[in-house]
Amino acid sequence: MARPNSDLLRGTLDMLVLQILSEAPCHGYAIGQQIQHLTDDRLRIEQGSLYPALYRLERHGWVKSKWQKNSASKRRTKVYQLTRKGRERLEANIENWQRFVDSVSHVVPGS
Amino acid sequence: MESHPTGMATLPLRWLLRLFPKRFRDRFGADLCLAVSDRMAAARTQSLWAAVRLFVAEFWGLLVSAARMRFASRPRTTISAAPRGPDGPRRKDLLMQSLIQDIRYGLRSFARNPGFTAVVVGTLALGIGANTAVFSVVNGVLLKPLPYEQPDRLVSVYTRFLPESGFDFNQFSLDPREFQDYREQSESMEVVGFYWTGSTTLTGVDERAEELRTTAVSAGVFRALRVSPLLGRAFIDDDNAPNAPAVAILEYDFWQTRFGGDPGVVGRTIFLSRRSVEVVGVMPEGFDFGTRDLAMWRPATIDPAIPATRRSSHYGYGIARLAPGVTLEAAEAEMTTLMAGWRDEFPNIHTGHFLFLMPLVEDVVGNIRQPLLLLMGAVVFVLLIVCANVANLVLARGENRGTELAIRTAMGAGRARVAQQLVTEGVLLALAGGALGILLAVRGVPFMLALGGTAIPRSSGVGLDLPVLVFGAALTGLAGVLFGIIPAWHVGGTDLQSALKDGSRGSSDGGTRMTFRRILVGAEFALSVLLVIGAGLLVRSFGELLKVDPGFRTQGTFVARVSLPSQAYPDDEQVLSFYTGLLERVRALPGVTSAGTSTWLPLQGSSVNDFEIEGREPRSQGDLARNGIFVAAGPSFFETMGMTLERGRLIDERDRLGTTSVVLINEKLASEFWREEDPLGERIRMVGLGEWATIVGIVGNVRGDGFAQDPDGAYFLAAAQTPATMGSARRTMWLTVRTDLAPLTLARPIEAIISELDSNLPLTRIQTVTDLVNRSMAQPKFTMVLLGAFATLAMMLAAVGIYSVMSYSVARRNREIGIRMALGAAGQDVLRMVVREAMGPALIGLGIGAAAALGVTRLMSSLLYGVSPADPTTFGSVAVIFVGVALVSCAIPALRATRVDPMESMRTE
Repeated sequence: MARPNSDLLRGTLDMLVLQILSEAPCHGYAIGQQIQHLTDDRLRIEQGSLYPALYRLERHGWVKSKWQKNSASKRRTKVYQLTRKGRERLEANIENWQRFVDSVSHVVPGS
Repeated sequence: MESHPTGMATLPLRWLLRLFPKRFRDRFGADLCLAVSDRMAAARTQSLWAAVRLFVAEFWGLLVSAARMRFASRPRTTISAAPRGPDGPRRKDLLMQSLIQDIRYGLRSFARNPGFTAVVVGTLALGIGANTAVFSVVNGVLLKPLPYEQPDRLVSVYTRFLPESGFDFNQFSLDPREFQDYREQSESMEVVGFYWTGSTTLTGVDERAEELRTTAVSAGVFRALRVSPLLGRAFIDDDNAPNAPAVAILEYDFWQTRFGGDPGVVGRTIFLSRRSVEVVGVMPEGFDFGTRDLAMWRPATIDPAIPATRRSSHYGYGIARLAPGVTLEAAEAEMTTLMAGWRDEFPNIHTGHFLFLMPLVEDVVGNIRQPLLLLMGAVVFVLLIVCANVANLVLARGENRGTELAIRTAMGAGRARVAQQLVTEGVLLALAGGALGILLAVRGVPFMLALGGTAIPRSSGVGLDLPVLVFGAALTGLAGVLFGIIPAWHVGGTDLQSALKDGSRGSSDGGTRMTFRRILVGAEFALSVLLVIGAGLLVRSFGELLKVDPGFRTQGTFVARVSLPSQAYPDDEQVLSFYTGLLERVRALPGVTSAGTSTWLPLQGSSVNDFEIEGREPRSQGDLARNGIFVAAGPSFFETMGMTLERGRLIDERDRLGTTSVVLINEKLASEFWREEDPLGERIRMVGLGEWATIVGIVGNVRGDGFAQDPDGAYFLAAAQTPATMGSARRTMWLTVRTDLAPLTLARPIEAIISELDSNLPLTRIQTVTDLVNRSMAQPKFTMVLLGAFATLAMMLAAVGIYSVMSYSVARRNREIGIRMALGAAGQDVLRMVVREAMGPALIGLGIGAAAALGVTRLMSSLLYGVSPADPTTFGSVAVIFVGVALVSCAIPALRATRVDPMESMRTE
């Protein structure tokens, strides 16, 4: 497993989390798994990095959370979901990202 | 018991949460913990290694994120903290902030001293790694309870023959009649079971014929162990009846690999040695009572027709569970009473021969306990040496930092604050060393297990599990506190004024510290001398073992086993002609020098049987029993194994059915029973079997039970004559082939020959005689290599210790040496002075270590062969080595001292 550059990751991680939450509300463990899964195991996110990201996103008001009782395991789990502001942010982000990728691919041939 | 292993493992992570800002912790802490423990649980199902890796990754990730969040959010938290309440920022948060500050400061200062950091972290890692690795083996083999319900209630039953019985076996198997009598008469046992190990050939599952290891068990064995089958049924008493239908119960792994885990296997018929057998059950995973690599259990059938007085066929083992409320002592007392009764009833059998009990765990762990405890002791010593060394380094550094700390104090840092910083740095060093050490252990444990091989029982239970990780973490914590406290304590005594004035050269109170450090070095020397002497004794003992002439050639011989099922080879003629044909073809293979067959191989266990000597009175009570290892050997067996002929002739092609039956005896047997007479030409026969055989030759002794065991008496009957001399031909034989090629290259061609002769016959236990020897040496080698490694490590650490203390001493006495030289001291005088200073603690340590060794090595005398625990050669050479080590390690600082330029040294002051 390649260790991704941490600076690159930091901005990207926020976006990845938003992206995953935009599909469905999720709890923290599942977010990490989804990222690992969506990137074909290339990105493994420690919970220690994921939660600070959630914390950032929540402080910006892009994500909100609530405790839920899981009927199957009878355990309380915290479920995170995207706010309206978060969805706008994600869309803006994707747009930015697309622009970034386009401009880079102009500079770096073949990328 | 380990219901929440991952929960426990996340405990240190939860502790790390405290490093995060409180706001974050309150909102996310609980959920974060849940998610981490879920991930740990998921990783645990993959492998332990995955879990450890994840743990390390999460640990590191949390540490980094916490630091990041702290620094990123600091201005904000301090601003927002003020209006939070009338008390201002909470005390705890302040402490946390100063802690983060200390960590940052410490990390920076480590980065500035990479040499110091690398040495400290590296030696700590070695010490903690060695301890964790050895502890994980000790834990898995010695400490973990056996995997049965209430395992401490389980006992093994053995017999003992004292010399007055004519035999001398300290721990021997049981006769089935002895088992039955004990089961009926004993009231202190809930259940008594009886079992023996064997092998069989499986056919009829697929194309392959396969030899399997089996254990025959009475119905009581599973009941005593309180294990129920996963599928089907356990054995019942009726299964043990002589004419009961043949049944078998499969071992879990065997069921998985050979039957693909098919639950429909219960009720299926398989062929064992070409007899149909019904599978009636499958035992649960991990249950493998009986023998290594076992495939199935079969009922232990005991023929009730044999009278109770025939009780000398010792081939089984007993296992029993103590009845509720009965102690082992009570059961032993009952056994003594019972045995007195047996002796009255069967005086010719039970005089000096009786049953005894042994806790099952002792039986399983047996002779590996002592070596493991020895190694555990050794690594604890290594850790002590590591600690002394690191303490030395940290002390030296602390003294060099006198000025820095004094400035910090002057700037307003309280003593407690400075102490907190030093403790933090110590803990950081220890954490890094501990983490690296545990990684070393992860790599080291498989190496240790591979080295031990079959000498380590229960090795499947060895691993870096929770208790082991806790052990490693505890060592790390202890080391951290130790390294923090020592310098902090020293700072406590520093006088601020003088430290500032003196700079780093403050020498006014250096005296007591130097003494303390010399004591540390002396202690290191003593401990490592002790270890090196222990290791030296083991090396000498192993050397003696290698020098032993085993009585056979250990190189270039291929061995494998063939077993002819009686269903397919009912007649003795068929068996004999099969082996004749096999040998003919094998001898014709290119590269084969000679080939033979035998029922016995050295180092593979042996059967002992009584014999009688023609014309002599039956043995009277108390006489040496006329018995020995009995072997049926084909022609060329002795030549192939490289055994020597002392007198007479060997068994050859002439010795067939119909010619005079012949037997060879070994020197041991000859000297025991033919003290004055000439054994050649005398006749012996196995008691109760066959006809008389004439002794035609005497062969050299063979150490058949291990190189350290004295050779036993043995007699060798001609394999081709066994229908006459032993009542039947031997169907299971070892094939031995001597070759100039790499022995195992013969496996393919010989397998091809066998399958041409009979496609349903497997060739099994293919190996070389060298393999047999290596396996028998595995335990002494395991102990020697590991203790040797730890002792070498200890010696190197002690050398580093002396070097660092002397370097430091020379550096701080630079001016003094300069003055001495200015006053006319020659380089030689300075050299002598430094060496004398270094040799003081070294020689005292050497003396104490050697004296301690004299007392301690006696404890390991059972591990030594041919060497006395007080072996003067070992003690002498270790003393010489250590004087050399001390001289070499103080040489560099001493030479540096001679190059002190008097002018320069005084100018810098």
